[in-house]
Amino acid sequence: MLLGLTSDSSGLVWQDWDDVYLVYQPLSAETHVFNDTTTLILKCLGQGELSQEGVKSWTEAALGVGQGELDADEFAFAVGRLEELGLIERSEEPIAI
Amino acid sequence: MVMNINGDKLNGIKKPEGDDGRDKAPVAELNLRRRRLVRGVTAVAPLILTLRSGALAAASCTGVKAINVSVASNNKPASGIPGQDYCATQNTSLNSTCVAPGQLTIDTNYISASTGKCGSNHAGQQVAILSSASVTSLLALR
Repeated sequence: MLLGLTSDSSGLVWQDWDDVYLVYQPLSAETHVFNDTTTLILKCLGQGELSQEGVKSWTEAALGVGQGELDADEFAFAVGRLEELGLIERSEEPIAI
Repeated sequence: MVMNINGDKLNGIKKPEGDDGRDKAPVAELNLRRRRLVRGVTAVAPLILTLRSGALAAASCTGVKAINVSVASNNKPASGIPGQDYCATQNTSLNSTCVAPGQLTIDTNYISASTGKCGSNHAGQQVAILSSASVTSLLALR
């Protein structure tokens, strides 16, 4: 199962605000507060689809923390929440023939 | 300034052309690390908060503390904290403390700290009781 950004995410308006980002989502008219970790999850997926484990690993590297230091449950919860917000989606991994 | 996560003045997230960049540490990440070092705290747990817009907040709940509160003939409400809470005229018969702006007309002054009376005359009426925070919020929505 791969994760990827939805078309909704391309319209996000970002505002750097001290340690967090204020992110306006025009299609839902909602404003979110993301920290660096959440931002990096989206940034990673902005470069193409990747497995959840791959995104977690990339995010940890980008944060400069050790592999596995990002709590798996917290990461999974964040991914689920981003899905609920319509910013990311899951797709079936292509099968090599 | 509106920017993307790289600090560029862009709307949305854009994939860098011709560069996967996934195995590199771009400037933005270095800045993030520096910021984290400055803070001296490693907060890696993802944070996702969704703020309610003014309209949604107003439609969902305004923080009215009590409704259908009787006001005695001496203009003292049956509940409410003098010096802090406000009496409000109910423009309609309310059955929920979550009301929309326009359903209440808020007194100019809070319940008198000295007399315990509403800020304007409601003797014999039913009023809603609002906290000062609610009043501030509702007035901001007008």
